[in-house]
Amino acid sequence: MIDELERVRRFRSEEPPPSEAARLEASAALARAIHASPRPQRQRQRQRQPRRRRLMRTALVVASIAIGLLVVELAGSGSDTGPPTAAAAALEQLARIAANGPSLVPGPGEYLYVDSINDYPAIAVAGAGKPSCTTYATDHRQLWIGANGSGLLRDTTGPTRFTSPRDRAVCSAMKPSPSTGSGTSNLWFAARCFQLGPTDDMQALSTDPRTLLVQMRRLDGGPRTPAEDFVHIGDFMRETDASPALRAALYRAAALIPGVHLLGRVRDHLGRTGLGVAYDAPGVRHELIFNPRTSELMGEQDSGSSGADFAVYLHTRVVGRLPQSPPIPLSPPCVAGSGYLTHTPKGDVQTGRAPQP
Amino acid sequence: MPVRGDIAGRRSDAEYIVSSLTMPDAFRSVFDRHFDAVHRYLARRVGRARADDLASQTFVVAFERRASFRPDVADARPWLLGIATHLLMNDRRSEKRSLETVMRVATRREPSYTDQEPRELDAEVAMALAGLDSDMRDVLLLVAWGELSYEEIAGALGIPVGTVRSRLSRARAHIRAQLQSQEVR
Repeated sequence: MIDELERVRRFRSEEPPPSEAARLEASAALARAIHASPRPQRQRQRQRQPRRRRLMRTALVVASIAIGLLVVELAGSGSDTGPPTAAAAALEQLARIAANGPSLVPGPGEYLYVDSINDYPAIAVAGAGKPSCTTYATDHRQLWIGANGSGLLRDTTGPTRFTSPRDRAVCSAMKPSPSTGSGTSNLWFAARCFQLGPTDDMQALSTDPRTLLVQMRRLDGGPRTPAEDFVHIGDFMRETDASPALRAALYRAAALIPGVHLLGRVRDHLGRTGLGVAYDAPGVRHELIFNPRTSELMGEQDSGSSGADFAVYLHTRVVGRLPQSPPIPLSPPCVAGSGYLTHTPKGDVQTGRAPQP
Repeated sequence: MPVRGDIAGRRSDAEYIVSSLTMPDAFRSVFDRHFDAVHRYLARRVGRARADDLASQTFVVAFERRASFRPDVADARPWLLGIATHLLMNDRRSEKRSLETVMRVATRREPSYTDQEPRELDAEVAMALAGLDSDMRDVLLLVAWGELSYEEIAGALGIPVGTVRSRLSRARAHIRAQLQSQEVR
């Protein structure tokens, strides 16, 4: 019995390679682009940042005009079909706790620290038309994000696990093996070198729940459905420096999404008890679990899927320093996400320019 | 985040792309390595004729945007498939038409066609894929056909990993339900 992913994988798997004519034509098109490109490229790269800022400002103006129209759309859809009273009441209670809770916005010299354990599947294929295998590995993820956007991502990956004896056999036969080696990796990054969430400016978001839902749809993309709105709530909560007012707005925005319902007391994958809120899409339930005392996001998990996808959040707090100094200075910042990676014995460092010798 | 190492001591894609900022011709190596994979992914989605054009566009766009490539990601394939997927946005209708064609051809049950079973199986998958929202189809097919990890898809499409996970979960549930309902009929 093959699963649905395998069925999709086999669909049109006999597709032959491109024709020589197509390859030559594409190669010629690329050659024309290369020939037409200005030199030197460095100067062009430096000029990108102001243009990007202008584009962002334009986008914000366009978005704010459109928001007026879309707020009407959301307002019309939420009132009669919103979450049941129990979920709305629980989310409002969490919103009040969040609004009066400590700020998670790091000040100068401070870092937002988020410590989590994640478990996601990885699918490996030996080549076209060959069998695939699915592996799992538990990842201990520690993230420090400074006020200026620089920081450290530390990943400690556990041993690879297999979903079935067949998967183990298929994976073992692959050369090289898809099993990820367990161990710890460090990646330090300068400002603007590493984008974590859907936006790098959480403080620009509205604290009005209806407007916020519209902004999240624009920034996070995806289908314009209640299921996707619920995904956005998680996206803007995890590993972000949302202010207390914005966190409160996120809970209130969740309360506007039709179909969101209260699970009550649930256990996360560490066995901790929290308050569960869920959205049931066909065949899968997406759950967010909150600490009822602090309102913090404790975990998220999908039930009904073939695997066991989950994340649990151990600590989310503001700290005064990085746990380990970077091996080279975290400067200059990246420009338009472009930067240089330097390998060192302590880990990798991404900065906007190659370090001076 | 683990940084992929180079294979057999070859220069990584990232090294070629960084070099191409000052020596644009270096980008040709990225084309030579990945054109077939990008074309194949596109051809499976919208057919060979359209894939010829879109695959070509993918590399021109990638060359123009190479300054935004993250140099800590040694392998450029996820980035290229992300660009290809974005270019597909204008081809949503032709992709759906192509899937519906598979469904129609299978339903006709042409007598000359001797291997009926695989064609019917294709039609079931085509029908299930055609019913998927395009954003969920993108994630599902980047996993199934692009062979990308959650992190790679997140980077390629510019969406959080949690969104990838959630969209994939829902896409799989949809496909599973569709295939099961077709078996019952």
